[in-house]
Amino acid sequence: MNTQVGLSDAPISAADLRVGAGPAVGAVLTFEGRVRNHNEGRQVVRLHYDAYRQMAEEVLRDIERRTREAYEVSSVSLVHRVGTLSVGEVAVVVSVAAAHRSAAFDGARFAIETVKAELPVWKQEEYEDGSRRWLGGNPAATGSSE
Amino acid sequence: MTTIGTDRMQLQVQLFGSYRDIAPGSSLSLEMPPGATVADLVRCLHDKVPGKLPPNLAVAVNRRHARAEQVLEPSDEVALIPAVAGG
Repeated sequence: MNTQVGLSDAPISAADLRVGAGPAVGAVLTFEGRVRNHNEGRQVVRLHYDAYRQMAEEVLRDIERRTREAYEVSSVSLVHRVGTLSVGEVAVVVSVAAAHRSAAFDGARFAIETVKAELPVWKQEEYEDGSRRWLGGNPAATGSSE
Repeated sequence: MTTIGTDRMQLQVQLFGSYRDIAPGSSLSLEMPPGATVADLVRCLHDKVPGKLPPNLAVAVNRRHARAEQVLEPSDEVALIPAVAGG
């Protein structure tokens, strides 16, 4: 099965990252997360994604492994963009193959939700007037504090 | 990372996301005594850039989330992890 896991500086798409399917696969589910033109009532023109690259690559591989182990999923592709993305560009692709649809839906949902909760990636919105704002995101679950 | 003499270690703390602009090069250099913990590092960071970092900081050591009591080594890769926002 051809799968890909990691960060990408170049454009990505579901068509390019859809997992291969052998004869035992009955369901292939592929999700694209895209840059939309609005958030919290403001018009967004582009997003700037920053990443702690070395850690993010390890976290993506960990999420891929956990998805396969927790669900009846035979293969997983998981790629996140970094850099500057315009409205409509694909920010993240999750693609899973499974024998049955329920495992494919559940596994893909787990993978994308875990990416959003754990991947050390940050996005800054840029608005029509040129101003920018970092989004708050999810606090690290096991972070340390004083 | 290098050990200075026998009693201080120098750590470079990597900064990402909204923390990047806190320091030139998106990195802060700290001198810590041997045996210093992540909690000690957080206190040093707040002393070095007062008011620029939130009170609660998530710290990654060697690309894993670290607990406050974890002891730091001179060779450790240290980074601050703002609230993540991928997807």
